[in-house]
Amino acid sequence: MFGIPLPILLGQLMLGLINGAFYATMSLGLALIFGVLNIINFAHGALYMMGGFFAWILLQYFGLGYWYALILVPIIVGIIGLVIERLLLRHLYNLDHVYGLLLTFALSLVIEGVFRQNFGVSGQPYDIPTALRGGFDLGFMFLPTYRAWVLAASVGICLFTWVVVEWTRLGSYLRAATENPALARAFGIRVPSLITMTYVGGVMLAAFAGVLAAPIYQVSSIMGSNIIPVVFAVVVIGGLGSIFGAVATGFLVGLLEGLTKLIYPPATNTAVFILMVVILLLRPQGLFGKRNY
Amino acid sequence: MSDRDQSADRCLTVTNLHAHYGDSHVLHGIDFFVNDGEVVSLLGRNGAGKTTMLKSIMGLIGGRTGSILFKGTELVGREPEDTARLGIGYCPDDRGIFASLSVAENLLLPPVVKSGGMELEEIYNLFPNIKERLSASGNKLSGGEQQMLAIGRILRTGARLLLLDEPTEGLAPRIVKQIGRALRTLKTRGFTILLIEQNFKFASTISDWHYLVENGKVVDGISSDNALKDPIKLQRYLGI
Repeated sequence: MFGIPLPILLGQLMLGLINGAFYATMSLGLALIFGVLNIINFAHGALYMMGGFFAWILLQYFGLGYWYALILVPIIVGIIGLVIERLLLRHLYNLDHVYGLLLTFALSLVIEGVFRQNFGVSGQPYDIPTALRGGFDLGFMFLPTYRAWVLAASVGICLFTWVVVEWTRLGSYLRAATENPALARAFGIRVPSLITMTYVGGVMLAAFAGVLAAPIYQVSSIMGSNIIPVVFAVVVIGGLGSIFGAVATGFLVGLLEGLTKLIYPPATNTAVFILMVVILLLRPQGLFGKRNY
Repeated sequence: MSDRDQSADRCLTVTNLHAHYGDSHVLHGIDFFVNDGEVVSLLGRNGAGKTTMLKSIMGLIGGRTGSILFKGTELVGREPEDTARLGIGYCPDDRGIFASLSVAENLLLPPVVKSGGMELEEIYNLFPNIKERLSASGNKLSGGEQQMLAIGRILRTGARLLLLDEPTEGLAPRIVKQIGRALRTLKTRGFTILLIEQNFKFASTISDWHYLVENGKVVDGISSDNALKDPIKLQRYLGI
C-alpha cells in the first residue's frame, strides 16, 4: 500500500488504534452526558488530565501504584464530578447549550490553572507497571504489552457501557430520560438522580482514560487541552447522542490519524478536522447521528 | 351534582387550582373531585384546559397553585416522580411511547410503586396486540397499538388512579371498542380513572360522572344518566 512496508503500516495502524481507544472512551462519556444532561461538557479534557495527574500523585505522595490508581482515581474524579453537577450544572439544564459550554469551559480553565500553578506544564513521567512491560512479537510486528492492555481495557469499558445502556433496566431509564425527561419522571423514574449518575459515569470514563494514558503520554497539566479538540471533532463526526457512533468514530479517527502519518505526515494533526469539515458539509447530523440538534 | 355519592372515599380532590404556562394563565380556579373506584370524564372543547388539568396533577406544569389532594396527600409542590410513586398512572395525549425503547422495554419502564399491580399475562389478555409486538421498536407501532401500550404499561405499577388523556383520539372504531372494553374491565377491577374525552358517546358508556371544562374552569358536572336524558345541556357546552 503506497509502497509502505507491511510492518510499518501495521505499526502505525496500531498506534492509531491506541489513540482511537482514548478518543472512543472520551467521546463516549461526552455523548452520554450530552444525551441526558443536554450539556456539552467542555471540562472533559480537564477531568481526563486530573485522571492522569491523580494517578501520578497517588504514586508520588502515597506510594500507591498503577492498579490502585486504576480503581481509586475514577472514584476520586467521580466525586469531583458529583460536586460539579450538584453545585453548578444543575442550574443550567433549562437554558441554551451555550451556557453549559461556557461554564464547563471556564471550569476546565480553572482546573488546568490550578494544576499548572502547582506542577508546571512540563510532563511528569509515569512508569509502565511491571506486569505490563515488554511485548509480543507477532511475526509481522512488535506489540508492546501496555498498548495491547490499553486497547483491551478501553474496548472492554466501552462494551460494558454499551451493555448497560442498551440491555439493562437502568439503561432503559437512561434512554427514556434522554428522549423525554418530563414523561420519564411522570412514571416515577428519578430523573434528577439519573442525571447526576450519568455525569459521574461520564467523568469516571474520562478519569479512567487519564490513568490509562499516564504511562503512554506524559502526565502534564495540558494533556487535556491536547486531546480535547480531537475528541470534540470525533463527537461532531460521529454525531451527538449515539453511543455506538461515539465509540466507532473514536477508533475510526485514530486509524485515520495513523494512516495520514504514513501517507502525508505533515497533515497528521489536521486530517481529523478536514474530515470534520467534510462531514459537516455533507451530513451535518454526523455519521451516526439521527436527530437534529 | 345531586346524584353523586358524597359519602364515598375521595380519591382525588382538586380545589381552586390555577396553572400557568410561562405568562399565560391556563387554569382559573378548578374545583372537582373523584371518588374511589369511579370513572370520571372531563369533557370540553379543544383548548379548554383538560390536558393541563392532568399535567398539573402529575406536576408537569411548573406554575400551579391551589390544592390537589390524592388520598389525603397534597400534590402541589411535589415532583412528578414522587407524585407517580404515590400510585398515579399517567397516559399522555401523545401516548408518549419512547422510540428508543422496544415495546417490551416501554411496557416494563414505569417502576412498580405499589403492590397489587396487574400481571403481564393479564395485560396481554386485555391487549393481545402488545404481546405480538414485544420485540418491535417503540416507533414501529400503529396508533392503536401505541395507545394500548401507553395504557398497558401503567397497569403493572400498582397505581390505583389512572389519568388517561384522550385514549380514543384518532383511532379506528374497532380499536375504540377494544379500548372501551379494556377500560370497563379496569373499572370492574377497581381502578379509579380520570379520563379526557372528546367523544361523549364513548365516555357515557364507561364514566359515572362527567365534568364540563370551559376556559380553564370546571363549569358543570353531570351524571351519565342525566346527560343521556338531557342531551341539549351537553351539546350547549360541547358545541356539537
